[in-house]
Amino acid sequence: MRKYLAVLWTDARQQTAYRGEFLLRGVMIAMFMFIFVWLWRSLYAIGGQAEISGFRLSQVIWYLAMAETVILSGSRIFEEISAAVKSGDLAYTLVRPYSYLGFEMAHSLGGSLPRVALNFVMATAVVLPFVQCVETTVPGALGFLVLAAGGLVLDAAIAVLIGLGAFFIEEVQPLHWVYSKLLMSVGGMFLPLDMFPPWLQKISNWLPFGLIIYAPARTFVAFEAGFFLRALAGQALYLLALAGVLWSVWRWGRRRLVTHGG
Amino acid sequence: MPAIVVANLSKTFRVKEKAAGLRASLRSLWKPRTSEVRAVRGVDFEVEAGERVAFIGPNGAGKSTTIKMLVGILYPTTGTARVLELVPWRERERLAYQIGAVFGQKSQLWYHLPPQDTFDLLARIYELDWEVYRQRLERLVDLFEIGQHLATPVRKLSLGERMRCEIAASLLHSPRILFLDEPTIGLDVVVKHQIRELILRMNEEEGVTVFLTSHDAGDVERLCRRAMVIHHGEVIYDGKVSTLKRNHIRSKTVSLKLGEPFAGFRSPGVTVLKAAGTGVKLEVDTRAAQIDQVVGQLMARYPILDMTVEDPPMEQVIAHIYQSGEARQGEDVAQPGQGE
Amino acid sequence: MRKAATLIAGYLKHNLMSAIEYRSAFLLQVFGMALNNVIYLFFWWVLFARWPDIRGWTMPMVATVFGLVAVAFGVANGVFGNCLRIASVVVSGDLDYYLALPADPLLHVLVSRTYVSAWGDLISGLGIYLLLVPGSMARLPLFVLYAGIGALIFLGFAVAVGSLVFFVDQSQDIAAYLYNALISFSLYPIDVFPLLVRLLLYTLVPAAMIGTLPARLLFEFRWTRLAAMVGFAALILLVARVLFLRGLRRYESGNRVTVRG
Repeated sequence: MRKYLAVLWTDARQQTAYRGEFLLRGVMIAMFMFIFVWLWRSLYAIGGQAEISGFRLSQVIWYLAMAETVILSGSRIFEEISAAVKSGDLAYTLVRPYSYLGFEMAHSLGGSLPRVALNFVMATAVVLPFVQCVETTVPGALGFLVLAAGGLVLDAAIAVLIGLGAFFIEEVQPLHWVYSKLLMSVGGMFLPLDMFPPWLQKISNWLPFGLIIYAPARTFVAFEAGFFLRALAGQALYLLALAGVLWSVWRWGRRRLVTHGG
Repeated sequence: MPAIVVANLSKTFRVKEKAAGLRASLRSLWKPRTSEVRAVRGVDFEVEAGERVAFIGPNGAGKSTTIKMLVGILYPTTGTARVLELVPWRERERLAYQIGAVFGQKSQLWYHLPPQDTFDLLARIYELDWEVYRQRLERLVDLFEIGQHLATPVRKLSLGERMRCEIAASLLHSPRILFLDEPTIGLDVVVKHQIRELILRMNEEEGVTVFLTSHDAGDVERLCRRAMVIHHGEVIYDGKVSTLKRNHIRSKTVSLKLGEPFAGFRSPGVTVLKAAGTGVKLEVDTRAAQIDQVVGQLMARYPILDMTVEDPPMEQVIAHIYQSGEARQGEDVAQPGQGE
Repeated sequence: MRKAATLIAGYLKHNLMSAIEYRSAFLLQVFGMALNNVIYLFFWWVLFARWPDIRGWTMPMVATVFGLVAVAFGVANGVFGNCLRIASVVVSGDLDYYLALPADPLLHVLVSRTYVSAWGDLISGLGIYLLLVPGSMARLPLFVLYAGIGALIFLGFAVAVGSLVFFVDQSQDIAAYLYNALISFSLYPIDVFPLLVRLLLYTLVPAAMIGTLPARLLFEFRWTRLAAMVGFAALILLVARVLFLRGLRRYESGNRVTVRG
């Protein structure tokens, strides 16, 4: 286990090796937060209501800030993995005494770690001047950390699975698009799931995407013990299922590599 | 017990034929036509602990396929192999802790970080005791003279410096066998020499078995005492490097830059390979002529500005072995094992 | 002029043919991108279900903007596939290859590649416009025209920003963020933004020129608007070309901007 934590930490350090480039990425989230702040101000102004679906304007904005923080730290490891599968370089990693799946998960999370920190700082920097308060509580913030971590692990697992899709199809990029768009839409990146029409809410609650974005972000602004525990359980269940799928796909792929030489 | 035992090892690949044109590709969806490629055909050999073996052959001869089987990342079609008493493809992870591998193209070092970080990481991956690791690192750093590079990001290192770090990394866990796949490719002469000396020292001081594939005759000559030549999937020569040289390197190439245009040169055993203006390339058959005599004659005939005398390329040597139909020589063939 | 047309047409055909060679990858990418875009509109659909009118914007308007931007992007990156990669072509030294050939280097660089997924953008943009906006069929020719002009604006912006790499070291990343900003901002109803930002979106980061302005044109034609759009397109193309040529002169004089990594 220690070896995978070491991989994670090393990767986190590699990400921050280029300070300038790294900081520029923060500009993305700043831009999105800027757009959202103005958009939502208008929306609330039009309706004239102080609350929509139980969310105040400041809560919605902080919700979005946290949602963006998580989604923009998402894993991009599927590109590396699919390239390694296609080139056959993957075979060479089998010589090393570690589990490929464990290594790639650690690699992915290591990449996410510094990004989460950066995104959080940048989002906060943009939002604070407009909203002038921080919409959270201690359990909220802690709950966010836990669910965000779980969400990123789920996201990493999905990304690895997509990468391994290269064993089956030529281009896995479209798979990632679909995933990423699903995450954005029914995951609750653009607006809290509570604002969805009821039938859509029901569907979204069953899908794993909301567990990655909506759950942590909502917990941050409106902590609720029951919700938190249900979300955690949901994450655990999906992770278990994913682990099973990943394991079988990996074993199949590895067997194919080792028998056919890739 | 030998470090590596290989018996009747074979690998046949099935390759799908890709046809051109729409109709043909549709047809191939229906009935894919496959052809067989026999990459490795019944290879036998044994390597004792502490030996330095060169595994040479032209591209596509089956070198990488064989090494992949020895390291456990490829299943053979038939035959057996035992590396350090483990079956590589069955006990790959156990074996991984005891072998080191340097694949010329695939680096182990994290590109944007200093080598020190990769070393620390590898210590964790190979589960080394931290004190043991520290001392080991110190020794390797000393030996490989990479102390000044430890804190420089790998991307800023020259190819030679990087290669030294790469090989040091592969030795951190004190493996018993080191597999090197084209380790000196792309390096300049001085650096090649350095790397060879380092590997030699590791072998002499620590008894690491060295299993090397290379295209470079210099690697083979300087580093290894024994050579196995593989061609079309078969080992066509297995014996001492000195014998290889003596029996099969029958010529030398002389490249010259003359002070005046070349106007022909006749001498027994000398063939003109290429001539253009003041540049000439000759092949001297060393059985029929003495190199120093030929050079003397050339110097008498033409003013010579520059001259290089080289061994023929490895491909030529191998082609010669193949043509002369020499079967495997030298070591005893290992007993045939159970088929897998 | 004819040479330029032949070059464009020739490469377009070649690029498409080679992309179609990899049939499954091609289809996957085109439909993937189309799906990608459709899901994006989902957010707007949910929003508009709740607030049918946002500062004068309605669903059909947003769909129009989206269609225009998608088609503009699709045309720009489908035909001039290297427009987003000008900076990397220069930095990697690939530019030298084009300089040695007897064709206009800028045009040559631009057309020698196609982004397969951009065709997905094109198709989905058209589809969304036709399906989600009432009365769209009638205005299709105008739609195509405005999207075309939008494509030129996008092209001009991409070339101008990419050419900065001749003058400013390591500016490829900034270029990438500017493209992203352009695309992101162009898809949102700009009336929600404060005046200063709106001004920016009509000029330096011309998101409004590609999305909002032509959409307004389709709903309510005004000569001044059309003139503004066409004028802006001409201007940005000119600026882009001048920047590129100046940068090229600098490049050729040996002041290499960056060292190859």
